[in-house]
Amino acid sequence: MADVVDLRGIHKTYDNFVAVDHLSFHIREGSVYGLLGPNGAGKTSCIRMMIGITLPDEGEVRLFGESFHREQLQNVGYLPEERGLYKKMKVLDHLVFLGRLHGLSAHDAQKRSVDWCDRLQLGDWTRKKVEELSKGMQQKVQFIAVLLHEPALVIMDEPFSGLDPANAAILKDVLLELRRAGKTILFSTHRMDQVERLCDSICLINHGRSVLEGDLKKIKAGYGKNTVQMQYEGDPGLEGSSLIESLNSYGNYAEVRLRPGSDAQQLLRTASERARISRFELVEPSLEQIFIETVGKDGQHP
Amino acid sequence: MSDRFRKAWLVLQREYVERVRSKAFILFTLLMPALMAASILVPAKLADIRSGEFRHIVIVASNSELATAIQQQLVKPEPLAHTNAHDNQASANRYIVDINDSPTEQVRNQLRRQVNEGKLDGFLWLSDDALASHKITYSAKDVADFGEAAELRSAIRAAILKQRLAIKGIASSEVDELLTPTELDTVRITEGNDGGSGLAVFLISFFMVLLLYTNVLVYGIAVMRSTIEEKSSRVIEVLLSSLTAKELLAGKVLGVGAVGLTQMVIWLVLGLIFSLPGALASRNFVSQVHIPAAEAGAFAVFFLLGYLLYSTIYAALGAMVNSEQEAQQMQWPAMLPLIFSIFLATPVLQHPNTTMAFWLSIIPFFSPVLMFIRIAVDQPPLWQVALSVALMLVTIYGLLVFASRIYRVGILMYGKRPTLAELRRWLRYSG
Repeated sequence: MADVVDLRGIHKTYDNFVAVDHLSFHIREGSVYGLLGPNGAGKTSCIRMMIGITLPDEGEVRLFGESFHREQLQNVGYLPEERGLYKKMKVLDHLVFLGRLHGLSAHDAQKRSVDWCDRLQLGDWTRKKVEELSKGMQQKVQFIAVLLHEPALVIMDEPFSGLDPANAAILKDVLLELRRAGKTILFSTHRMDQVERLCDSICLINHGRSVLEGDLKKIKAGYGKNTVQMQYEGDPGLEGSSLIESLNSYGNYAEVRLRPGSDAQQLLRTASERARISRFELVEPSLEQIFIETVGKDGQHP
Repeated sequence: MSDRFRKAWLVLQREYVERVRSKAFILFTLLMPALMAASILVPAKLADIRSGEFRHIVIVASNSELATAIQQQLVKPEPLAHTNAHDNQASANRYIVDINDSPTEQVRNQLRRQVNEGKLDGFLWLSDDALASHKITYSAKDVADFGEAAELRSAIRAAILKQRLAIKGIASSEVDELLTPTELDTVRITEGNDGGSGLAVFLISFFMVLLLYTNVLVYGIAVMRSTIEEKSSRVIEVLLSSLTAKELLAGKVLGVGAVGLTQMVIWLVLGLIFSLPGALASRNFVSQVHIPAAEAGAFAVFFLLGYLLYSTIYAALGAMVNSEQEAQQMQWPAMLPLIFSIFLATPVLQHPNTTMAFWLSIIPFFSPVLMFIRIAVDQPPLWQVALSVALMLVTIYGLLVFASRIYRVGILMYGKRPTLAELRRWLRYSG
């Protein structure tokens, strides 16, 4: 299948700070791609170069199989992390304005805006000023603005940050629907739980460099079932255990990475002597764990 | 290419419609003429009320002929032939004048008392001593009315002059003829036909400065605010995913500019409607300020370019700062070239053809005022006019590119105002 996004060694420095360091990855058509990394890793800089807000110092951005040119933006929907609306504008006028900027006719923009507003329960608010809407409603308006022109590529930078749970659910449904419709979705986040459920492939970046890239299932399989997820009451005495390579503890839930050659049954026995175990499962490591390990290691040895 | 214009046009449209529809705009547009009208009409109305009353004064003079002559000057019905010359005194006072021919201290004290009691408005003291020393006094309770003092002064002068001329044997009808004032109208000669008058040049140059200044002050700063608002409301990045900073800023400068022009046109039309009766009545004055079509065209061109130029400066300022507080410190420096060109206006007005005038008038920041003045008072070579227009256009475009670069890089770094060194580096970034 064709690549919708193809980054070839893009590089960007601001003064002496390297924001993106010769980064390459590509996104297959119709897939959901997660761009992951801690804050300041270069996710946003990377996305901005993808859509021509800034230009890379080196390297090439290719969209839809062609070298980047601005007309391609008619086919891209972008939800920035720093997003806002004109506060004094009426909701419908605002959506029509943004839709037309993406090449829609006034009529189409109007019609689609009304349809979308009805669908997301904003139908009664289209004539209101943006500032009269609650923050949650403004977020819905922002989603609509991204999708109005039915882009083939949707890019969302930290889409779930600041969303209330209801809107997060709506966004998730919309994303799934887009995926079913064959659209390509890229989103950046540092929240792993969502990526895990939504993404086909990921690129994990740190200090502007790619540290892990590829198909999510393959990546996880590569780690093997060397991870234990356990739920308990009391203190199972995991800390300092010779069986454990790393530990991510939440108080009454923990993810444990076993040392190579350690026996999971041994861990269960020692733990059950000290605490009540309600769940004990041998799994592939969660993305969060992979993230912490990879980024942590990278942080220690830059 | 057409796509870029389409996007700038959409921004322009949004900026224009949102602003013109806002309550603030409607209120300001309607309130301003109302205030202006009130500030003109109310004093005029007050003067009207007062001018309906008679001022009762007494002339105290031992020379009764002179006293009678002054009395005649003051109470005579306005001679029709002089109406135009005295247009600006349309609300002149009317007088009841009594004559007292015994300038004694006793009379003086009595009159003072009457003035104090309000039975009398004032009295003129023309004793022989006073006449000999050329010091005539007018005593009244209220002496702040300059119009009244001027009327009295001219009446006394005319009376004394008439009397002296009469002594030399000149008939009073001839005296009137002699005293009719002559008006001086300065007319500039251009190739072929009569150009605008000197008064017109001065007025129109002044008008240019005033119009530029007020519009830039209100709408240039609106451009700046609007660029800051897009940054602070975070709508900027949403926009930049479909258009360039240059398209955005161009659309914004033009859109806000169009709002200012709309307001001006509304005010102009309202002003014409209200001043039309008055203007028709004093056709003489209006015909003096005759403005040739070429000059009016130059006015429009230089005003628009100046307006755009300064608005773009404000767009660049808006791109550089993060908050209105920061912007406030920078509003004044941006206006300085405009203020400076007001000071340069007089020398250029007097000597429009010197090398100095040429160089000053092609500096884009001064051109709107100085080149226009040169066009108004003289005919500078066409290439010079073309050069100044071209330089202004180039400067506007340059500022736009500068502003959009700053804008694009600036949004990536919220939080602090860039230093000059940083600005220079930002400009070097390819994007």
